[in-house]
Amino acid sequence: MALRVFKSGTVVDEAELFSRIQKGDEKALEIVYQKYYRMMTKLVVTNSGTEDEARDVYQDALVVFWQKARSSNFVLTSKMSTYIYSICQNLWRKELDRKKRLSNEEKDAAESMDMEKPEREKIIAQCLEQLGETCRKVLMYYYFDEMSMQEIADKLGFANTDTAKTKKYKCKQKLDELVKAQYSERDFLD
Amino acid sequence: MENFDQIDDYLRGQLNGHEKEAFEQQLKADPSLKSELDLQKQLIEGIKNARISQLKTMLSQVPVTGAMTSGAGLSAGQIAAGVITSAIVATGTLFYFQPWKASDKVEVKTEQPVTETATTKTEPKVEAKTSENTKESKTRSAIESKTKASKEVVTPQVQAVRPNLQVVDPTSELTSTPSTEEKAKVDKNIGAVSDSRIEVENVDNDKQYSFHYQFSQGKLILYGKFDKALYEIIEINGSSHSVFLYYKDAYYTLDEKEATVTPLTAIRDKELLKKLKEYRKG
Repeated sequence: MALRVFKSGTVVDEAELFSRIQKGDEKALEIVYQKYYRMMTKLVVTNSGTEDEARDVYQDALVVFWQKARSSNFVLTSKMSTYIYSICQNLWRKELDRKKRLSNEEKDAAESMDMEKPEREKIIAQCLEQLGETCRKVLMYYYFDEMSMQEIADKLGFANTDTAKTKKYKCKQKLDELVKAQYSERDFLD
Repeated sequence: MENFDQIDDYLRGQLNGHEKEAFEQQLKADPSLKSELDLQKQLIEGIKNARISQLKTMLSQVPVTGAMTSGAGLSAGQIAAGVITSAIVATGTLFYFQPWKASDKVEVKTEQPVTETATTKTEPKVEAKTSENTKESKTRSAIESKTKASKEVVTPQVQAVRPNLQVVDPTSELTSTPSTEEKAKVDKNIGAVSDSRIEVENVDNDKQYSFHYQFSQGKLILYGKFDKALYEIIEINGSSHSVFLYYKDAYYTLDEKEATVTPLTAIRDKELLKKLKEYRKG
């Protein structure tokens, strides 16, 4: 009978995780999230933040990292954890600055500039929901993850890049129509 | 729809110098093109926000056992007191040749002990729900700032950052081995980085259930006062997956399909007990 013992603390290969993230592997992002959770949230919690804020900052930082890692000209020059940690630092510093400004009652001037903005954002979010999952994914992968048509085709199981292109075009057009119809109902269009 | 593509390319920064200049000239001369551009900007922003929200929701569902749920607002003294009276949760995963199944390979995986404070006052179930709701509403309300963040934090500059933050070397925590004393202080949260597949929650204030368990949404909930002694979750992956609890020198079978609160009953099968003892000791 073969018996093998290993500790969970064994070092997970960072380079491999990073490479998987670069390829758009969401599972790898989840592993990174779990792996550094305590380290990253501690930064916020030990600097006047709550756990909710800590989690929020850490998740935001990972989203930023995800998008950065996906860009073709991105080179990771430090350890992945160091890089993510620095994003957390920046984000939390900004949040602390924002809170400070709020407490100084400077908020109204900036936030009342565009009253219609939240309403418009809500409409777009609702229209995206109406599009259906595949359409949403195509658009998100194209505009946020900046995936190539080949990557989108591979990820969503399309026959080829032409199918992906057509899909993206039609989905965007559909979103455009839905939003315009809602905007005109509310007189948001000029 | 030539404009449609051109606007798209412009917004994604895919026009070359000359094309960009020409397009911007066109924009100045054509107000309808400008308003179309504004709309397309909003749509792309909305799509990006939806993706950010989706990624964050995905991350929120990743189990991070032993997160700082009860310790965040406590003072160092309170945390130390909590640790002293804490229950030690040791999670172990065993890949092994099950005595009652035919297989040859045995793999044992043990993990570092996880401690949780026994002083938690919040009812765990309620806490979990509240946390989820907060998360969702936060995700939605924070859409705008998230997009800004993703744009603004393009190149983090560790050197240039001089916030009022305590700079901690993030890597040291992963690479250095803390002393026993340090470990006792930090172990409360160690599960946050644990690879354990089973998240454990302890409900110690339920009068109806004093020594029970259930699985709820992939999480193991143990009812009763488990702070009296060390307990361990033994996860066994062979040709099938089994989970056991070890507590005060006794072993209990945990049926992962058990969604209702069930009393914990000690295993009496001698052969199984012998094997479990063997594997727990590694």
